[in-house]
Amino acid sequence: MSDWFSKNFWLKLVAFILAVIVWSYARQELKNTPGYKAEKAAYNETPTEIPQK
Amino acid sequence: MLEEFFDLSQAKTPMQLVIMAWKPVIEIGIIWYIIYKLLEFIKGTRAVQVLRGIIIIAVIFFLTQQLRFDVINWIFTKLFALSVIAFLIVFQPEMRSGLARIGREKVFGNIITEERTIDEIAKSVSILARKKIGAIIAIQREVNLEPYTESGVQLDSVITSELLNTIFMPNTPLHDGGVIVHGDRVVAAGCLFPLSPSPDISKLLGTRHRAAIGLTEETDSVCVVVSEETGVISIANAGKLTRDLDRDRLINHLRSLLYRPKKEKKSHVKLSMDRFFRKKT
Repeated sequence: MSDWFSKNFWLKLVAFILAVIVWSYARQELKNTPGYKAEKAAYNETPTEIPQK
Repeated sequence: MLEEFFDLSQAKTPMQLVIMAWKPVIEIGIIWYIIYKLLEFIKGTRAVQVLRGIIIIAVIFFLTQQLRFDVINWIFTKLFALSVIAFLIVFQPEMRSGLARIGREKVFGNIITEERTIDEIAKSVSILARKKIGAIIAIQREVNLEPYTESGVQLDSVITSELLNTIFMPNTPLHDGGVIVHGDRVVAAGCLFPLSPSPDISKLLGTRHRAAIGLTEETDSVCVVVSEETGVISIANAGKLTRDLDRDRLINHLRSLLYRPKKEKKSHVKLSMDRFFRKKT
């Protein structure tokens, strides 16, 4: 496992930084896209308040 | 900042946090793997220099945007649109070999090549190396080498060390070119292989080695090369050259790349027969 980390360590690190940048940029772009609904609620979360008429 | 990335402010319990965080983690992991493989692939090619150029231009573009140099900015924007097409044209060979490499990622292990083929190649190559006769032998794996066999003379004969030695004998019609081997057959001789454009290849290596690297960059074949000047035996695989091999190391190397012994399948009947006879004796 340590071999896997040490081999091309800098390349892996650069790739990781780029991946985070690309992901956050893509997410930001996606949020700004009209019509896109982000998954806001946590999985299996039931609404606590039911709107009453 | 992290909360903004993952939208984790919604989570109220640690369990919810884990559930909400797994998707971004997997997404980043996938993007990381793609970028890492891309960088790893680019590392050994001429694309590195171009990548450096692109980074410098991107930095200048960023600065002009910040300093609000609108005209320069406009020119850069137009140039970027054109550069996408230029990039596709200039790096067409690299992209082709990269995509081919993705397609041939090992899924089912190595390809079975006859043990006899390896022995005959090793025998021939060691004789050629001793006599300092140049040779290049490409061993086909999954990717079909037919486009290259067409550039030479079709043979389709059973592989023997004598045949290989005769082909590479100087001043004969077929000696100046590569031999393609598939299974236990010599498919063609006098074939032309693509030269690698990599700037990292040592100037001490000749066209034969460059061709071996070039072919293994574009296909999944394995190339055995004998240097005409030094008699050194080398193996090229996936664009990488391993030099200074003796006969035993060559055989071991070829076995590890090409050979997977067939597993003997014994039927239930055969197994019970074996047990029966073992008891009798």
